[in-house]
Amino acid sequence: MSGSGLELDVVVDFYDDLLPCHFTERTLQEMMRIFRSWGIRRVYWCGQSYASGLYEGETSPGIEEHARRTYEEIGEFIPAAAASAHAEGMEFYVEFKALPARHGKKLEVDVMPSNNSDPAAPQFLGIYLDWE
Amino acid sequence: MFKWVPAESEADARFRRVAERYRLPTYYNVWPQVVFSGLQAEQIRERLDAVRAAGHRGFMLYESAAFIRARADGTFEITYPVIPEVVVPWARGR
Repeated sequence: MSGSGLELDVVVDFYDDLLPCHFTERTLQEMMRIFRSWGIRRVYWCGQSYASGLYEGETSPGIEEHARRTYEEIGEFIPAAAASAHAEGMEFYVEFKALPARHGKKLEVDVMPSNNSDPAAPQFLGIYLDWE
Repeated sequence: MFKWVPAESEADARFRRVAERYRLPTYYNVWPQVVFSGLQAEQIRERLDAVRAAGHRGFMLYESAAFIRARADGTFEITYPVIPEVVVPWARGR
């Protein structure tokens, strides 16, 4: 709990963060370092895996290329982000948006646990939710 | 998560009843740069005081792309400095 008695948490909707440029491991680490320096306790990660195809063919300028380059740099987004958050000692939760109507395609959603007991070895539950 | 639920609104009261019944912690979730637009630092602190007084456990900064912007070299631009300059010190009790 913070000195004010109110926790500070943050939501990352990764799609929007990818609009200006791609991410590297350093970018993720720097993002989490900033959050931690602000006293953030928990990161809510809103955004599907690269494998979901969510980022393909999007109309937002650059998003498809930025997502592809990010995947080449760090692999799947959610495990990489969880590792960076845990390394800074923050909890990491994943939220996902159910957007099949918008995207009209099958979505594959990765679900990460909130366990940060071992920042060096974040667990990946390997749960996938699909729908058409 | 009370996302865009105005304090003292009917929705706020309804959600609060359910949260209290099941003893669930609640978090206030808004775009800071929208709800704090045009406010001076002291006014922002008063708004944060109101969030705390309402009984919420936390304040969720929504969302990162609205206040930090990644650069290709791996660094970030702080695009909404009210977060580190006003909100963070308030949360730390300073």
